[in-house]
Amino acid sequence: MLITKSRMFKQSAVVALCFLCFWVSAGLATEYQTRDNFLISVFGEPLPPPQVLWLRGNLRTGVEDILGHRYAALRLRYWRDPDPLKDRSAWVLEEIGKELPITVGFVIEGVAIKSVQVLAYRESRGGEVRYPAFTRQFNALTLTQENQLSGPIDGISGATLSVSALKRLSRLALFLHQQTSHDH
Amino acid sequence: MTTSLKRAQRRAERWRKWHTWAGLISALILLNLAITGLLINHTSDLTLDKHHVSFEPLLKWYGFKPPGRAIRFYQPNGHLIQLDEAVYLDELRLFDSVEPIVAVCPAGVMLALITPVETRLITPEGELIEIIPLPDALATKVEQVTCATNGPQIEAAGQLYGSDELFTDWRPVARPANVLWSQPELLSPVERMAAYHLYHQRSLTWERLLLDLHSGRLLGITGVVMVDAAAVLLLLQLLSGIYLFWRKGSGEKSR
Repeated sequence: MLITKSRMFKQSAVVALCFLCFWVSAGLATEYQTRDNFLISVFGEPLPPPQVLWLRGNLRTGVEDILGHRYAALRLRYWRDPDPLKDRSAWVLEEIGKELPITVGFVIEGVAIKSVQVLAYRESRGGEVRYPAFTRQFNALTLTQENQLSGPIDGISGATLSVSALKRLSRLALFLHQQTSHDH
Repeated sequence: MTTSLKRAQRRAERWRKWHTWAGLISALILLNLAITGLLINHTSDLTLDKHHVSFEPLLKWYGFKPPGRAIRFYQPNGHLIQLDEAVYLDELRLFDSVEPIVAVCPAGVMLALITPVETRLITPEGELIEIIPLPDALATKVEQVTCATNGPQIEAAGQLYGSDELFTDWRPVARPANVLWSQPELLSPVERMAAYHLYHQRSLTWERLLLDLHSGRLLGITGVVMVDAAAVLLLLQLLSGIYLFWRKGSGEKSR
């Protein structure tokens, strides 16, 4: 009986510790990858020089239509593959899921998304959007004429707002790539 | 009239007096509960959670402290003020920056705000243009900043660095003979008082105030006890009312 009680106590302690670790880790803002490391993983070293895109006029309106609000900054930075044959660009964008911004890196090639990577997640819930099993769904999606994604994205229960934020950012990355491809 | 009847009438009179006074006192608190409760019930419709109380004595009553860091930089378009994490252009709140602003320098038509970890570019009207992290070689090593004609220059580990137009590439530059380092100005005690109002103008919502009025927490534990006492008083009043009603009924019957 004593052994059973002791075992039960230990098991309870382990379960409590696991819960504690879960809640502590869930409450912390996490940077999974730095912007530079993300860019190095896309282009290798040395990195192509950054380029800037001012959100003005029609471009600003287009961005507002996609996000449903103004982007937090007036100027965006992006990186384009130095090989002109590769119509490839990388974007690091931010959007608020519920209360805090999620930082996401996008690689766009041609007219489609090549990869999506969550670089920093600051909310306490919904961090599952960083898993490759979720972000892989965006690969090869394009932008329709109505500025919507060409395919569906399966949601994650408990992370609805974060999923929506990533969908909006994906549309934005494709839209911005389209806009800058015209310039090149 | 018998003695017992007189005694019963006196008792009933006492009850009636007690009932009246208890009613008057609890009515005041009930009035507060009714008005605040009604407003709280329609918080969203009245956007009480988005409107703020700016009555300074009340803010002080709540114990909101003045900001610890209160610095200012002079700019042609107005004063750039940092109160703890909140950054203002005059009275317009721009954004929050946990890091202290070390310098504000003109950079073309923009303003460059240098913190130990990043450069924030804003328009002269205060709109955020971009946040650019400082390279690893400079991040958290910023010692001093000078505003050169072509933008800010940062001193780190005794070396002065200047940046390219995009604030991406920071390279060592020669140190001029007379360097004028950018210095934030500390607010005077009078200005700190004005800053207190500015800093806390969004600290207290009407919803919070109404909730605290409703529960009595605005007066601390005293208020809570008062509301509790009013509730008990109402309960007793209800009982005494029933008693008086019953007495009246039984009196009429006996007559």
